[in-house]
Amino acid sequence: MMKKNIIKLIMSTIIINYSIQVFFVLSGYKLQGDLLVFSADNNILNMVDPIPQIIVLMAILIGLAVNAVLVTIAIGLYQKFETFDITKMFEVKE
Amino acid sequence: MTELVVLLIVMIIGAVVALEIKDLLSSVVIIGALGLCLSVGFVLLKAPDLAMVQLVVELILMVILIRATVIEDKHDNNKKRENAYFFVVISSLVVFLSAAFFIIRKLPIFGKPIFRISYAYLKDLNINALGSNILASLMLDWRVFDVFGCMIALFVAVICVLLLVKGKRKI
Amino acid sequence: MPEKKNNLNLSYKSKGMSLAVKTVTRLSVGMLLLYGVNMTLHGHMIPGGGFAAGIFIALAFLNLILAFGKDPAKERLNQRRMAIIMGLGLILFLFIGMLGFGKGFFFADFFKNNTGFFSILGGKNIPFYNIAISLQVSSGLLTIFLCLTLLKIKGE
Repeated sequence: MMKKNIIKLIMSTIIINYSIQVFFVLSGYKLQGDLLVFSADNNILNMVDPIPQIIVLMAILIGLAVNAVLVTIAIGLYQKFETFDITKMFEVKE
Repeated sequence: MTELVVLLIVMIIGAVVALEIKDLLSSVVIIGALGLCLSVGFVLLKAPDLAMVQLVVELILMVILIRATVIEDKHDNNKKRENAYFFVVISSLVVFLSAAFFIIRKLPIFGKPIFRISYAYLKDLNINALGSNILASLMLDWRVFDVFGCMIALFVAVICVLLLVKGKRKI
Repeated sequence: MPEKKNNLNLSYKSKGMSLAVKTVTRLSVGMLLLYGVNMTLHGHMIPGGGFAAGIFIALAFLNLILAFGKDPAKERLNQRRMAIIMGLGLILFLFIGMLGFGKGFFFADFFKNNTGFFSILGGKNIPFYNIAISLQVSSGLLTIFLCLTLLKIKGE
């Protein structure tokens, strides 16, 4: 988060997104649990916790859409200021 | 469990390298490798649906990022900010870690989730009238309002992109 | 006699990547699309569901755009058409939720514990939700991607 380049900032948000997804799925994992698919030899009460997986499934998609919006804003800023550097963006041109 | 630990350590190292490397294109490629590692990790954590979605989302995200990186920037890319920002980052990191230290102690042990909310739902499921994929049937029966909110969020994001682009040039 | 206009301009000579990429793309795009549709219709049986299926369908068209350049995509995929499909998916989802009022409340499951013909759907209305979700997700992602590819940037 200390970089000047705006693409690196977008990448850092992506990495934060990944780490939160891994944390959610890890919190719902059960040792020797079963897959979330029903079959004859699966005990339905000995499964991995489904709620974190449902939340993460939606979080992945929303993360993709938000990152696309961020990249579009970055390209728009480049078209206006001709740089990716966020400190040089709002300087007055001489 | 050892393979999962190795995978997570590789992911942490990869995240640090991706942010510190000088070339922008190679850092995008490392982000892609991180996503693939995450997808393998989801398979190890017994979440095949998530692995499938993550694998494909990663491809689309990489194409979008490469689209932004092919632009040549004239200025130097890899400079850091002044020292004043450094103290802000360090202090926020200290606050975050100390909060995490107290919260993680309250969490249940790894491998034994609390499993109280979904237990109430799974207990009185009618198994005969159920598709095999329990995740989908839970998601679209019990948490269907969440899915609806997710779809609205996606819709709003697409409209944002359309507005941002359409001001510049008509397609 | 006027010359017939070739709508699907997927010849080897069009702009885009090399010949090997084009051949592999033409062979594999149909299978990708078929896999997405299969995953939509069997979303209650196999791992996947509507979200993954929608992204697969979007990926198939994205593959075409990448291999054959911008021009065939511009002819075939109108932005207005994509926006209409996207709105249709969302409205379909809401409509299925509204049908639940017949059973009592919003988003109620009107096929629950059905043992007639509709028990082939797993006894629930999940396949209908899956169709709506895959329509919306695929067209939304394609719209985002088209906007980003067709945008012209000064520096290039």
